Amino acid sequence: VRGLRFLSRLGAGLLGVWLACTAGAQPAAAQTTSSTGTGSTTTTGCEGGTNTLVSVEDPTRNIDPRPADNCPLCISARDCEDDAVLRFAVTISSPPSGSTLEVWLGDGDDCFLAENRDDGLCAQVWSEDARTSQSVELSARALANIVTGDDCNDTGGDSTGYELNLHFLVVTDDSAPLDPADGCNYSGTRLDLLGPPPPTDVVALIQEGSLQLNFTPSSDSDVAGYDVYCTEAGGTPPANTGGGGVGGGGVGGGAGGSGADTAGGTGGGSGCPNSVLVEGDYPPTADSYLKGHSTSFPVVAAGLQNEVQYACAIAATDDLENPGTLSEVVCGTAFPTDDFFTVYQRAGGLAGGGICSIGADPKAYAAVTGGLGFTLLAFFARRRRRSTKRNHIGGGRAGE
Amino acid sequence: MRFGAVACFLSSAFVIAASQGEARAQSSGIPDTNWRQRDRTEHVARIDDSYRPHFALEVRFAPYYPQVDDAPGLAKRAVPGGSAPVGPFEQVFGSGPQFYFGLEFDWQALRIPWVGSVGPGFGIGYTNRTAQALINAPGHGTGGCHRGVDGCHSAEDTSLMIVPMQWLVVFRFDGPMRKLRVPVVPYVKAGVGMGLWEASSDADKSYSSPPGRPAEVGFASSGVTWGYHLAIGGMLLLNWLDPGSVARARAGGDAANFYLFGEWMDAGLRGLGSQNQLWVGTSTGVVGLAVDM
Repeated sequence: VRGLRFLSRLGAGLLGVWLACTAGAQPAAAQTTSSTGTGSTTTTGCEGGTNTLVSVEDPTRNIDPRPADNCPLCISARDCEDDAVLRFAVTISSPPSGSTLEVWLGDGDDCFLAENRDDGLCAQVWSEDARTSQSVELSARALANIVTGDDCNDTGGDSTGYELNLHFLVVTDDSAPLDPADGCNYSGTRLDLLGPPPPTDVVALIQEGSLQLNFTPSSDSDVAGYDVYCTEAGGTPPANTGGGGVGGGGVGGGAGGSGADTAGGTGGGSGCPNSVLVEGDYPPTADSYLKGHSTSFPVVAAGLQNEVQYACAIAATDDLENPGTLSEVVCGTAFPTDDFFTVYQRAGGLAGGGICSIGADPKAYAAVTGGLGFTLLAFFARRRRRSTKRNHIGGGRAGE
Repeated sequence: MRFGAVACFLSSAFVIAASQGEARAQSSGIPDTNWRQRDRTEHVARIDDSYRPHFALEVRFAPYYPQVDDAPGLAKRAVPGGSAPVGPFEQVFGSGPQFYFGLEFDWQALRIPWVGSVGPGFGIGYTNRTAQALINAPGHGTGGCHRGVDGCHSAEDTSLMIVPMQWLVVFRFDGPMRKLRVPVVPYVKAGVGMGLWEASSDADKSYSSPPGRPAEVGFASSGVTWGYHLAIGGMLLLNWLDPGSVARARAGGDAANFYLFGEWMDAGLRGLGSQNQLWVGTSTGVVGLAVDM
């Protein structure tokens, strides 16, 4: 009884500490998730002013949104290319006669001020006669073009993108300053067309039917994962397309190639000749080159043929799934591998077959049965001796 | 992750022990300098040899050297840089030890006056070894190698997990400790051992049945190895560290004595003569903490 009580207390204590440990780990994960942030699915609506006139809900999209953790209302490069549309449901309590509902995009500037709207600090993206209830559809491509000036190409920005401050204004007189009650500022979305910079020091290590790519992670705060692209080594290097913005021009079609080890992987050579992948360029769009994805270090390129040399490169991706430019291209070759049990069997080992394999060994049965039997005999012998002793004492007392 | 779990366990044990000690210290309220103490349990505990623990719990730690390569009939192979051919285990995992953690619970069922106690016990442990799989391509060069035992392994993990268990008869010679205040308790253990084991790999490998076994699709890389278990060791009584807590633990029915122990353990998990068993036992020194109650 004492032992059971002690063990139950110990168990309860351990359970309590374990629960405390796991509970302590939860908030950190939650913070990480929420920090991805802007444009979560919560209905933030408009902010600013007294906001008695206009009510704006979080928009819906005409194409499938990304998962909730991946900023579903933000505009990525693919959203821009696919010309996604953000559809806002706007409610105006009592639209003044002759007024219009205008949507202005300002980069931190107050679009309630007429001079900011007139001086071009704010750009108008929507205008329509104000009604009690109306739908405002904003094209992702149009918004991107206003911000970048070059359609869906962002050549001057950084990988974190731009906050989009959309002012929903009910305007009666274009020249008059607006009262804060005449509109609101929606900042629940973001434009991000660039992926993060690539990792460095890429090395391909041998696995069976795959390669493990080790690397020094990108230091950019925008990194949410890594994609690995592979193609068979060799062939004519492609012309470098320059890699858009952050890629900075590429390095010329992987013409280096001197660091490649033709037998195994690489030690991070200066390139690996191939006809598809170019350091500094954007990844190929064909899915057949995408061989793996990981949110952490390292990343594995799977689905490769053994003893075929591949050229592989890694692109970091952000929370909007924008791929960045490719890392250095390294050579690697997958080979058959021998794990411990294979080596053991090849050495003549006969064990295995599962935990029920005891059936093949009668000696083991005998030993187990003997051990258990001895324990049971000791137990019952003690009980019998105690019982006899108790009866003897009881009989003696009865006789007194 | 595994290290975190062990750390969590140890910290929890520490927290429990500390909280009990603190609570008791607060409830005591007896000045050290007052000779007219109302609560004399500390002194009673020091001289009381009538307390008879019934159970013992051990937390055990050891370096573990699986005897896989000692099994007869296993071909050995020279590895680059090695002085002598080695068996399959050392080829993959090297010769260093792996960490073993175990628990043992003993029932001190029979007490022999002036000598000690005898009773059955059960222990269970866990040890795991992970390394990188070998590359099966002679002359593959040095490119793409992960560091390994012989300098060039693949990047794939391969591991061998062993869960040794033992059913024991434990003799604890605590008579001198109880009667003569000798703070050391020698003991011996003997019994039957069993090791559950499983070899695994990152790669989704499929194995074929070895010669002499029925053909099987997807032969399991796991099994059970039976054997004997012997141990001899000594326990150093730690009650002198905090006799007050010990006395109160006895009064509360929680624990009687605390020990630091060391033993030599021979887990002869060799299949009891059977040829088709993976030798997962070891002979090694074990240290740990024990409490009887």
